[in-house]
Amino acid sequence: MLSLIVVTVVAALSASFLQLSSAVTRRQARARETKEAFYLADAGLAEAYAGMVIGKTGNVGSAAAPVLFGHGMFWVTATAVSPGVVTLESTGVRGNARVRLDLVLERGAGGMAALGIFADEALEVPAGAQIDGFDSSAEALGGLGGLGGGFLGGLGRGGTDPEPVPARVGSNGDVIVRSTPESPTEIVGDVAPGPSGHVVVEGDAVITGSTVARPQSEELPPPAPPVIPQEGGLDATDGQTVVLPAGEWGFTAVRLAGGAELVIQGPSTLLVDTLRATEGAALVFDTSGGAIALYVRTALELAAGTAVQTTVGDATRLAIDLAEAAGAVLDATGAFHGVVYAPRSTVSVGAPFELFGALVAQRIQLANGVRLHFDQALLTAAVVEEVPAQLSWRIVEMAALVPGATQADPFRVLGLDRNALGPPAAGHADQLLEIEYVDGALVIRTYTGMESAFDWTDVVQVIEARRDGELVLSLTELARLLDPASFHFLMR
Amino acid sequence: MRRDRRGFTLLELIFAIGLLTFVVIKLTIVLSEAREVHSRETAAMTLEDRAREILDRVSYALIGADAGTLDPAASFPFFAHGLEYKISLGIEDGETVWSDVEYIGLAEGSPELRWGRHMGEPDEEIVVWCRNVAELIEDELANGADDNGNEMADETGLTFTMVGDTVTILLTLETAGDAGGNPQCTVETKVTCRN
Amino acid sequence: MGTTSRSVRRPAAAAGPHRGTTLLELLVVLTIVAVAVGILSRIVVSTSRLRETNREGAVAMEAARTVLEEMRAWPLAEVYARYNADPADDPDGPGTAPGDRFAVDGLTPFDPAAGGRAGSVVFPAGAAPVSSGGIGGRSGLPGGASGGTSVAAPLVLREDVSLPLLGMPRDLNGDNIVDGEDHSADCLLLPVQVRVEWQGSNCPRSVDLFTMLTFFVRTQ
Repeated sequence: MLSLIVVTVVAALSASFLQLSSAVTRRQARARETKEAFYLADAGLAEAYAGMVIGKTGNVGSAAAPVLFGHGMFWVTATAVSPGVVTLESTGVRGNARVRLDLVLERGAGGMAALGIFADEALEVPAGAQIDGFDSSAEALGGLGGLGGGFLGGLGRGGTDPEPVPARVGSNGDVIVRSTPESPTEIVGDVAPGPSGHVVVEGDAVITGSTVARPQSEELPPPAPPVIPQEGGLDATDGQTVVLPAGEWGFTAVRLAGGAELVIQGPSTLLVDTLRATEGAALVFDTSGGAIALYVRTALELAAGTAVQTTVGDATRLAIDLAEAAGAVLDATGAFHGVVYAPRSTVSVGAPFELFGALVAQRIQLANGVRLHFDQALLTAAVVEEVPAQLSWRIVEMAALVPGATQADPFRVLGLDRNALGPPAAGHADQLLEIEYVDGALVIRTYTGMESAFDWTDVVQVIEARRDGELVLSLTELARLLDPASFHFLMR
Repeated sequence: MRRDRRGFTLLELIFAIGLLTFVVIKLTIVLSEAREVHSRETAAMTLEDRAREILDRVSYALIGADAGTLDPAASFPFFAHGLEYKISLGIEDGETVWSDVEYIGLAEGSPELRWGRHMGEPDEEIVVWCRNVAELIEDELANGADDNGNEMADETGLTFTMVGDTVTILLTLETAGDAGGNPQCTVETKVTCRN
Repeated sequence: MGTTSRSVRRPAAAAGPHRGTTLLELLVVLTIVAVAVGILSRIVVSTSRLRETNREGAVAMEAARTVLEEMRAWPLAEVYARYNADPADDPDGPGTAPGDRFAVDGLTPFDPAAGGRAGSVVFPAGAAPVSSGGIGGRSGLPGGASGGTSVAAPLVLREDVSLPLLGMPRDLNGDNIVDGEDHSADCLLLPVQVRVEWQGSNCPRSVDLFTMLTFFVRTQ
């Protein structure tokens, strides 16, 4: 009897002990697997995001064919939820744990500056106009040409005679190019009229590139004014030099009398109602310290006889935005490196005003003999504009793969053959790849086709690559361009 | 006539009873100790498991928080016993939908760890996640000094402290026990807010 | 001649108080009790060990997670420099960064050479490329095969290292080319394994966390 009692008590205690410790062990094992699955899902978001930065779709693997990573797996699905907004949903699985994370990204519009010399209404290129392109980024790197960098000089490309960089001229309507024997017109690059527009060439105007109409009209959204208090006007009198140091400035009217000089130092953002410079005045944009953004509400007038100067030959560092119905008259003398964007107004450009960058307006009036140079660095800047930016991140679900089970083999549960699954780098969705590259024999080659059929191991240097028609850059290029101190397009 | 005279002598009886008593006492002691060990181990195991479970719950809630909404923004060596924050609820019409302000922390002067929404308002929602948070972090005394060598003084049983977007979470749970030492369990982790 | 009474062995159930417990029966009871208590003791000890095992596993996992979360707080370009074995490249000054090993409270490393630090951070790292000129530096060899150099030359982030659990070899800097260059400062994606390895009660144990880091551009 005594032994019976003792044995019963011992059995009860033991059972209770074992039950509790088993329950705790199971719960903690589940917690550990959940943590592992969480970081696998996090890895999926990183993989997908990094892929989108270089032009991939954001889809990595799938529920039917995830990618192997660590001791588990993940897959990522990219969904466009609205124009420019993409959701990446990443699922990480480890043991019996499944975690789903969600990352919402916003892609920029691509930058209007990539349009080059563009008018919403019909564009007339007058006689004597010289329009071409150049690449300020390549010149900054030593002039070895384009996006290819170091190799091209030694391969017979670039070097002392770089290939001409094409300009971009376009319109949502017709483009009329006039030329006379006394004032011949040359456009080195492409001219793209609107979908129902035409390129009309009068005289012996030379257009070296394509004249194919664009497939659809370009929308020119109005620029957003900066929120800066405007504290009265700014008057610079004869002989006076006014220096605006880096910062935010708001004025109603800025007037530069003859003999006055206004120096704007970057990084700066200015909001003005009007900016008028009369003959003899000088306007200097000092972008050596950073980018300058100027927003004009009513009128921008650089009269004939004024001088304009930008200290750094990089069009990505200077942007002038004009509000609706704000006109601009650019008759100043000098080299202007920047972008003028006036989607709802008219910009007049005189012959002494030499533009290096881009000009996008509702109407463009060009004087005879005008010289315009499209900066191809704006194209790469546009790619940066399209680099997806994070809007939000959240945990969607943390659950058991098999509810109620202590453990599970996820491969068996999901019906997967582990040996048929690949690593994350091989899991990105297939895309159309157009690439110009240097191979192992130092020969320049091109390829157009699905990326899955392309052998990247033979590539030594990428000259230019596009995925699904979109230009892509390596991180080296992007890292240089993503420095917010010198690039204002990141400000959204 | 023969009589059966088998039986126990008094001495044998005394000896047997004594031996039995000894055995029963020993057994009682052993079983009692076993029960005590069982109770102690069970309590410790449960406490530790509970502490880790709560820590996980708090950390997963904060990892999705918008770092800019954390309030108070208690930068190390300052700390807080509760945090308000917002998390993303998803996307609607291309815009992120952020939650109302949520709260995780101790109720004032209470050992309860609570999650809440609309705190202090008529539609306040509160869920008690845990009822046995220690008043102070383990090894810490209410003396204005840093007793446990972590460069903070008198940290509460639930402590949040931040360096940039990274939140350190410390939690000490204790079992309700008699005076003279409540078993405690302390757990710690860090999370970097993803928003 | 009278009535003869025989002593009858009464059934045990009918034994009166004077029947008693034999020494043998007592010994049997004691034996059963001893065995039962012995079993209970073993269960208590095993459960204590199990509790300790659970605790170690949880502590190890939490330590690994803490390191990963701390890593996330740094700019991507600095992560490798802060968490590699080379103190010379620490961004805030030599020896100021955490390095590739970390201690975990209460866990004794399995490897005596670990200097008391059970945790480690593993990146796809290899020997610095032997030549920086030529064709994109593809002549570099991973894994310290540079030959003739002194011991413990700093490792660099390389794309051609073979670490299948980390998905390596693969492109890390977004140029789609897997080369042998040093990508310590220009990686777009950084696979990382945080491992805690310790001497458990019965055998060596380990936990691992695998993830990838990238830089997420944020809207202003």
